[in-house]
Amino acid sequence: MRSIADMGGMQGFGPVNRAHDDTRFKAEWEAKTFAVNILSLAAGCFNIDESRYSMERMPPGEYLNTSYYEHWLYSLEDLLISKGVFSQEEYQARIAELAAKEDDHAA
Amino acid sequence: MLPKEMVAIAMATGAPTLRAIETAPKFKPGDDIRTTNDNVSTHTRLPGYARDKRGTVVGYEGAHVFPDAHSAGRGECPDHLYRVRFDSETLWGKGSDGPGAVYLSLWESYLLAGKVS
Repeated sequence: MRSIADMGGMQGFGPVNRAHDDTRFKAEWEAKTFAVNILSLAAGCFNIDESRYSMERMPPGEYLNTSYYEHWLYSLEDLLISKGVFSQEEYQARIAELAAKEDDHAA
Repeated sequence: MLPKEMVAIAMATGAPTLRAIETAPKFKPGDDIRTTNDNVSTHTRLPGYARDKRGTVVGYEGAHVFPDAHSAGRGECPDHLYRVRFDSETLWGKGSDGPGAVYLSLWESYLLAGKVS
């Protein structure tokens, strides 16, 4: 599909800045997103082509405004929910539970 | 499921996509090809900029899992994979960065016999 991820030859984004080619993780959540993705692939939850297809279907505005690993996180959430590993409700409940725990620590 | 002791090996070698298939490859190095211009709305590894372009087969890479099928839950459907050379100007047009070439690994179903007038 000619989605926003298929950008080859598009203009208006400015020059490619090779000085920004630092592939190291910039935050812990990036490393975790990468790890859970690879483990989910190894466990057979989804395949690499489904993962790429999922990223391509990210809403275009959101795709442009988010980082590389946010694209990975988007497809990870999309696939683990659509494949039934957990439900949207279970996922949201877990986020709320962890957020409440953080609030307790902060208090 | 990947056993724990295999994790390091899998990380080092990746998951190979090379498969054995019955059909013979249609193209060989040196063949002129033209890419398809199918407006598929699902996943494909043929980039938009390389649709309906002329190129030359420069290598054969064996049969590999076909992402267009594999991404859509239609199984692996392995297909022959080729290394294809495109002149920069063919892809980017006159006035782009100058002489050069782009090499893409493309599955046989993206390719038509070249020399089509």
